[in-house]
Amino acid sequence: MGLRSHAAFRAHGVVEVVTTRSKHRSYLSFVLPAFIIYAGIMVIPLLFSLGLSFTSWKGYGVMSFAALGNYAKLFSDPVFLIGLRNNALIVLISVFGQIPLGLLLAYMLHRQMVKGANGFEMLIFLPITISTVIVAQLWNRVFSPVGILPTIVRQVSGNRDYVMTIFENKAFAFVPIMFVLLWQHTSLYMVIFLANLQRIPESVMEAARLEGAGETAIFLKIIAPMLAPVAFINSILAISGSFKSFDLIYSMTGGGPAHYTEVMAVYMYNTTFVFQNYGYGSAISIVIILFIVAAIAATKAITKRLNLG
Amino acid sequence: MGLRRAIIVVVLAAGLAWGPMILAAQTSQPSAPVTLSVYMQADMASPQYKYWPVTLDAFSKKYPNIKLDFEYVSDEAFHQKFQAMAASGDIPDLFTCYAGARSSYILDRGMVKDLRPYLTADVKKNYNQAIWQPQGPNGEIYIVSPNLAVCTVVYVNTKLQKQLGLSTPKTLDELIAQVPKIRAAGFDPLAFGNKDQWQAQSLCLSMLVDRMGGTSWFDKAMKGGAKFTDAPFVDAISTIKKMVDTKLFPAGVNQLEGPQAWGEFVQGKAVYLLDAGWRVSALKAAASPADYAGYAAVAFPAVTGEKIHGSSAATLGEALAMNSKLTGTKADAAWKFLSFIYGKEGSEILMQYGVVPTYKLDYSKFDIDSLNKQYINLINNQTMGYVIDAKMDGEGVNNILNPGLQAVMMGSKTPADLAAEYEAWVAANDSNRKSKK
Amino acid sequence: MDNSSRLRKAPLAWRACAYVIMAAFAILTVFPLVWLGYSSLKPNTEIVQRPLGLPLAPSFDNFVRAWSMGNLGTVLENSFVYTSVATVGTLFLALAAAFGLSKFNFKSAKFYTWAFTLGLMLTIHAGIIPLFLAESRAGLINTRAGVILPYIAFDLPISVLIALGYMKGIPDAIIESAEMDGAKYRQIFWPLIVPLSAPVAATMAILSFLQHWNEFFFVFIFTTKVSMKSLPVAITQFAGRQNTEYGLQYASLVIGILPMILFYVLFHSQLKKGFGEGSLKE
Repeated sequence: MGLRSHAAFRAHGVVEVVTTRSKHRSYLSFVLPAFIIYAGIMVIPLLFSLGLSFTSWKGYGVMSFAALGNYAKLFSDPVFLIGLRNNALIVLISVFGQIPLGLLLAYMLHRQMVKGANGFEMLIFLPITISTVIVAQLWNRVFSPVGILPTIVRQVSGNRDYVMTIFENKAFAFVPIMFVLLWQHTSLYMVIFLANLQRIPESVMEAARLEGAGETAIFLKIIAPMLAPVAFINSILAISGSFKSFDLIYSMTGGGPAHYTEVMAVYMYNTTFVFQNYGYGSAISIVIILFIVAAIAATKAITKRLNLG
Repeated sequence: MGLRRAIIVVVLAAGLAWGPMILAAQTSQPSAPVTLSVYMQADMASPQYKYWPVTLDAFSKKYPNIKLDFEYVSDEAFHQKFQAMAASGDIPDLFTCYAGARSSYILDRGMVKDLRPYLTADVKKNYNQAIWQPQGPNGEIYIVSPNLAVCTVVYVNTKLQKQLGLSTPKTLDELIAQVPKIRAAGFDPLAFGNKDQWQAQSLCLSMLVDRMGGTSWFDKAMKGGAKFTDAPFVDAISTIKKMVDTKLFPAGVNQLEGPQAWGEFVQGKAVYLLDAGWRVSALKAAASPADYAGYAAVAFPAVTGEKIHGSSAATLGEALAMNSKLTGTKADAAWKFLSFIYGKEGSEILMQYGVVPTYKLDYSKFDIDSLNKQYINLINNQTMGYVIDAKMDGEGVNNILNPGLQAVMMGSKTPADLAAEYEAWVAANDSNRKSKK
Repeated sequence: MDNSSRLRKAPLAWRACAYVIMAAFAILTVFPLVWLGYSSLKPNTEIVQRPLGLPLAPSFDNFVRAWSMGNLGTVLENSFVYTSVATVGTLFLALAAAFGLSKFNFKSAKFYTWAFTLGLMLTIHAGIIPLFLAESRAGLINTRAGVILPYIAFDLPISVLIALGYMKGIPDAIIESAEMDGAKYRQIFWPLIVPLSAPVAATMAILSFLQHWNEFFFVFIFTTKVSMKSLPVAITQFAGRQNTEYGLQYASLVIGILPMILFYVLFHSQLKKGFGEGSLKE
């Protein structure tokens, strides 16, 4: 402790003695502001949420203790279960749709398979920069009964009554939403893969070519495995985002009709802010986090198992 | 440096937070102009509120010393954010309030002033006496409702009707019989939009339940003497299913937003429109005068098995209410405002814009358009049933009944199942069943 | 140098597929936006009667009315304030924290770093209810601070971690020699570290800016007055509601999208780099 300041003193004569104490204070002054804001606004409310989830409360008046009652109710709540199913669908479309498609697109662009690759890249990347809620409004104008898609179909098919009945189908109502998610997010992964592709040395592909490997073989057997670690990291991002999904669904359908497109975050919002059931709503938000943590842990475990990172 | 910066940030944040509150406190001094904060559920972009700037203007001419500071939020967002204010214990001086379950989150907190001290016999006699029903557990009156919100009216495009050689049906079955002809000609029979889920329950089911069981049945169902699995409720739901199955509604009715539905009617694409009484002013503002002159308003046709005939469902229209903490000059100013906008002057303006006020006016003095005349006639001759979401707890209605109705309309749930689900929730949770009266 | 593998074209099957997929994406992206654009130039009656056609007499009337009715000038200003203040705030807080955690070698650094990493897994919704209650009680609803502070808080974990990864790459020698010259830490940070961090700062700032500008949930929950709303929230509420004027709705959506398109055109290469390299830092 005193050693360092001694050394400084001996080496430089009259010098500002930087004691470890004041160094520690400096250190804290750099780290603490960020940490306090973060902890105060993100972490502490989380702990309160946890507490609230064990109660039953209307936002005013009596707060009664409900132990695990809220959690038990959740897993027999049909609305919650539909939400869970839909969140799982989002995970699927992200991990098995957006990410592979993103990889494919990145590869195609990297290999300059189309003229004007830059232009295409810019165009595909555009949707992610638009606010999700505006994207939702845009696609509502396309899909709604008075929207552009049914209008086109009516004119073409002569069926005056055409509407997108898929929205009224309990099993498939979520499909248009998955489509919009794909539309918006694929480019995100495309860009990440592209950056990583550009780091792969030419020599690798050259060598494979010299050995007679075709394009498809190179893609499947060399490129894809090399980018698998990145894909796994992306999966973590994607899964985390899938469970939190709120903006798009809330703005497009609000979870309807008849809860067909419900997701956990929208249900949490309605439960808390519309039905005034603060305890139950908090339980839902805690469960969302638990799912994220579990999914990430599972992904990491699989990654280790397959020795990919 | 980092620590100092952090302190500055916190102080700034505190200042931003406390500043407005301090400023707000200062306005309650008893000096010349009084400023009132108003939190109102309204969408100024909607043709429905065309009259409002006129009313405000008239008020400021009469009381130049009273200044009003408005916040407008529309639809559900109004309720959701109002809870934020209620949670902080700091709500504006005046705010939109419903007499019934919809505003229970603010009424139950005791934050709304009982207006009875201001409501002398002299004041009350000028109004439709129906609005003086007790609004609170001890007979409190929280709002002076400016209009009865009649929830079921069938509007008729008589021009289109004539063109197709049809006449206004007296029974639902007759209306259904008109469907093939209307559709063959390329029109929608009954315009209706249920994307927001509440329309089917408020504008249709409530009336049907009244037809099938009446308020006497509903009163019993609220307390537990009858159940929602009883015939009146199930039959009402089944009737809606029948309306969907016979293609009375437009295709994709559960994807259509309300404005899109009455927009269709105004564009002449539908022969009839199922909507609320308060839609008249919007129709007036959106349709051409020639078209508007051809609109008629009738009661929903007779339904097989109905016990009550020709009724609609109505609830007191919402109005601005006073913060219970107001006193002195602020309270006086607030009452002046309320008694103006809901009194003679305000009601006259409402009348000019096509809204029938609860304040009794000499109708002969006004040039009432034909649709409004029919509407006034209609509501004066109808009995009114309850609107379900004004009587029953919000969670049951919003989480089970409304989406459930959509499910029934889309064929994924039977009316009996929905009735059972709703009854189960009500029996376990609804405050009406729990109160001992 | 043998460039043949670079120049050698991919097989026809691949290229054909590539064109099909790219074209599909391009059309799907462009068509809705283009349609929205030219539809907003039509008056409402024309939109209803000729939904697909090009405008007969294009005019900006819808835009003018949407702008004033929706108070979009105020709203745009709000978006700008929320976004820039939050972005700048996050940037400096993150750089400072990263500096502290990487160059000071205190044991507690491990804990703080771990705490920030945990933040990556937490969602907005985790604490939104208590946060909402706390802000209500503190009177922060409908204040700028009430939105900006959560923005910063939620952006900090990822920003700190990105900055940390970068800072670790700054040679310790630079700092030690400055210390030898008797500089206090704050004198090392501002004139030395911050400029050195410019590349990562630029990337972080752009990503932050985009995320905050498009953010919906916080503004939706923490503000009620139109005068406080940001662009996405105001447009959503304006475009969806009780007016039947499709023209106004479309115009407001276009107004909502344009700033982002502009931002995108100006900064797309940095955005690309940012997203791409953000993953490399993992």
